[in-house]
Amino acid sequence: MIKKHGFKVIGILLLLYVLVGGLFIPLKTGITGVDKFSIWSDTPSVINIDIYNPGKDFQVQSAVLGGKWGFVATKTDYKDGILSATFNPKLGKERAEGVSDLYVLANKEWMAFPSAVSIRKSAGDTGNTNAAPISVAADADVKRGFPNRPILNESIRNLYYHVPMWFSMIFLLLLGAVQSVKYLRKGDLNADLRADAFIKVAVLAGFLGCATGSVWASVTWNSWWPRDPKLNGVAIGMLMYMAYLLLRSGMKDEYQRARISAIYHLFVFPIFIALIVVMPKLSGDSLHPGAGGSVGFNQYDLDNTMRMFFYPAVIGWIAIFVWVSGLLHRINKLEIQTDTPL
Amino acid sequence: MKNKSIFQLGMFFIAMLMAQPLLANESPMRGNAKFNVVAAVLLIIFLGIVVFLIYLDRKITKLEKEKDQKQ
Repeated sequence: MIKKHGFKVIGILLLLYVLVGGLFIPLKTGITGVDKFSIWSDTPSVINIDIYNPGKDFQVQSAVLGGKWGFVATKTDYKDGILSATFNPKLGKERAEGVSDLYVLANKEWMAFPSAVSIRKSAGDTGNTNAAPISVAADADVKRGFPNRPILNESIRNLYYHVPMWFSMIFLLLLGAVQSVKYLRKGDLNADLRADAFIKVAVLAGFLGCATGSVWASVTWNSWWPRDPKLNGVAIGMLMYMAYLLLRSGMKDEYQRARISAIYHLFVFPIFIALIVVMPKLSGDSLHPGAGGSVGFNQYDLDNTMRMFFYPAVIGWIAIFVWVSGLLHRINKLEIQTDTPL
Repeated sequence: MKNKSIFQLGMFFIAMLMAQPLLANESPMRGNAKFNVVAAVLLIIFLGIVVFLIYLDRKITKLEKEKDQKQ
């Protein structure tokens, strides 16, 4: 009983935990926008900064434009989620104009907003610069909550719903490959049916991954299907599995169908992995995290609060999809039994 | 005739959706600090699973009919 149904219960409980936690745990304080594209140097200008989830006692210690060398705000004024910071940057002779990052130190934590404002050099700005060396400490990670990254904001929660689709797809394809090997070694038609069910549900997970990723990309990368090696690889991989579905549906003889499906899947599975995991890493230039030089997720992408939900989400979704493919396998088996009375 | 009007209604809704500035800053998906996109993602996954349930339902209905015919 526990052995047969345990993983289903575990999957449901984990997904409940992930849905509740993943949707209701608040985001940390962060900057979601500024009201100016550019300011002139040597002129006092006020920048209004949108602060997200500021909390009750939000105390601003300082605001800085720039990186290692920056311009500290002369005056900061916080009211109702909007921080008005006055900057009077003097570029002088030695510093060139350019786009600056914005940092805000509040409640002893730094918040960053990259490429916030560009500082243009005004004609009279020929004196000395007032840029000062700044040390912006890394995220201290003291407050409980999901990290508030620029561009992502609340949509960082999609990590628990979009990414596990791909993990489930790869896991189901792996289970399918195991069953394919089993069929080729023992000639057991049941193993072929199992492999087929795993692959069909994997394709479903892949479609859901594509659709959810496309919606997510439309608000973060500003395109429904951005140019990215991972997306191109996935498009080819999904087409290969569409070909599998067509190939299989076109054959009537059970043993021939089983043998060709098994061999096709065993050839295509490594190519699929190469296309969506290896190729984006080799190209070294992908929007997806963990695709360039780094291996998978590093400490920069995932913090400890997110880990508490991400790994359960992966296990929970995999359990649910394995359950679904079990249902499909049982129905397919019944279908064959009613077609050919034993 | 009925099919044609349903098709026209569908095209009308698609045209309405296309008319929305979905990639502009005012897109409804960006609302609540981009939380709405999380809701959209969950909706897509739910719909995908429902479509699969309908597929399974039809298969089972077919099996039931075959069983009835045999009896």
